[in-house]
Amino acid sequence: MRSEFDPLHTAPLPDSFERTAAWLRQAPPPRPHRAPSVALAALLVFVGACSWPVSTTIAAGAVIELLSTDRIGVGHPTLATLDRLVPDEHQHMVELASVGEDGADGTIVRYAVLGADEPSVGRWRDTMAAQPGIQAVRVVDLDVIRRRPLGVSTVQRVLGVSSTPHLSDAQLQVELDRVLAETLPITIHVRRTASGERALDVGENVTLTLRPGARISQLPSRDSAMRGIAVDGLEPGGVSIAGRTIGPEGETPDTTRFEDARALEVALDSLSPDIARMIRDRIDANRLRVDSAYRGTLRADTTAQVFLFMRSDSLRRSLPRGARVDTVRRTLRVQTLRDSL
Amino acid sequence: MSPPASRDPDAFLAALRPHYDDALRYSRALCARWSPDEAEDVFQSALLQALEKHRTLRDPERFRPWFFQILTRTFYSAVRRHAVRRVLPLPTEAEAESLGLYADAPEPGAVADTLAVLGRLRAKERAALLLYELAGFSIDEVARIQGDRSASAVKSRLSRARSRAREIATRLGASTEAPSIHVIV
Repeated sequence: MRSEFDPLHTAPLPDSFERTAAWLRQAPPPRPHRAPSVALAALLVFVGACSWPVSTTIAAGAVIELLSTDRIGVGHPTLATLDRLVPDEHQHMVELASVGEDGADGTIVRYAVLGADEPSVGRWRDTMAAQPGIQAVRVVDLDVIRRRPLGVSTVQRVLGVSSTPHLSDAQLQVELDRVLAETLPITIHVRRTASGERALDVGENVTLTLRPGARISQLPSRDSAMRGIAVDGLEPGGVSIAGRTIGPEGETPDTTRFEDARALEVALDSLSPDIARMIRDRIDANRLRVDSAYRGTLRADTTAQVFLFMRSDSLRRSLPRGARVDTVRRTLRVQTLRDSL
Repeated sequence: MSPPASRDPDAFLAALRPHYDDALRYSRALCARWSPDEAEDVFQSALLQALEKHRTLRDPERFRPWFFQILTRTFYSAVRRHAVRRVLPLPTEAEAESLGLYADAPEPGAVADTLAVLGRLRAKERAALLLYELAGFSIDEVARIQGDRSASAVKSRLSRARSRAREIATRLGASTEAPSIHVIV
């Protein structure tokens, strides 16, 4: 075996020791090879970060939800109008739900459209809102959560590439249920306590007690992303939803509560046109979803208020003149003075 | 730039002298198929590191395995830099003064054939084979030089290296008209 290495043993070597010794005596100390290690570490971190899976929310489409006083079935003019409005490639699912006993109080139509741009959906919403018998229309964004490598997600975001995910009917149903479940109303109820204070019940096991003259400083919430808008300076008055007058409820005679996601439409109807337009614009611009609303006098003064509770981005940007914003924990309060509008 | 005062080149060179040729042969064979500049850079880097650390060597009797260990680790680092440079445009070190340790003229046939086979082995297998066969270290010493905890790992590595060398030699012999490669068995 060793004989195989004999050529290496016996190969002539240049007599280089003296040259090497002379070089070594004057050679500077070696520099550590830091650059490759740093560059390699940076490369590994970059590759690892790019492949790290992240949850990406992809806009898949929208659900146009209509509240009609009619009992809607196949062939109804409302559905025919929708079919004419929405191109075939965007039509995916229609869901009908009766309101009231045996549909006596109307029908909720949920029309899922996929891959349509936002302006088109807005036009369809406005067109449907003008149809006879339609009490309220809202658009719920249908987002799909997908796990993708961070690199792919970032590049798509930077380049503005948006890919509409393909959804089967079953997947669409799941996503639709999820989105609608997210917008389920939160029960909000104002009541007067035994000691005479007003208490605001938000959801389950959350109660906010309001002392006379005190401002809301904190609103506990089940959802940390919940935001609220309070509009002050309104005249008290009756509010109806789906043709039925709701409230006054509970022990507070001047308070109306809404436990339905359609509360936005009803709440806005009760506001002055300027304020309603301002709120709707801001909600649309910020792609907010209204979960619930109530109307009444929360504070111990005679000024009526409308509160809208949402679960999306804040309303911090570009507030209209005359609006004051009090940001408290988990709650953004927009207080619009009536005389400044 | 003047060398640091903490060095003792004379003592280091005195210790190096008896092992210089073996170390140079080992380094040449380790860097088989590399360019002479790259191969010489490995040897020079090892010399400089050894000179810097020579004062920390407690037992002068262990100079030989100690220096071969530095040489082997310097070679491993060079292999890693080689791999990184394939994908990253890393800056290269400043050109060191060439000492002419590696002849530009082609090696004699048998040496070239052996180096051709060695150059196709994995770095650690190549080092193990050369430490054992060329430098004459024992299995335990090879294990210490290569940073292995057990001698059995070195035995396995040597066995794999021999098998691979045999395959490579056969393949190289089959691919040329005149199969003059010695089969390392």
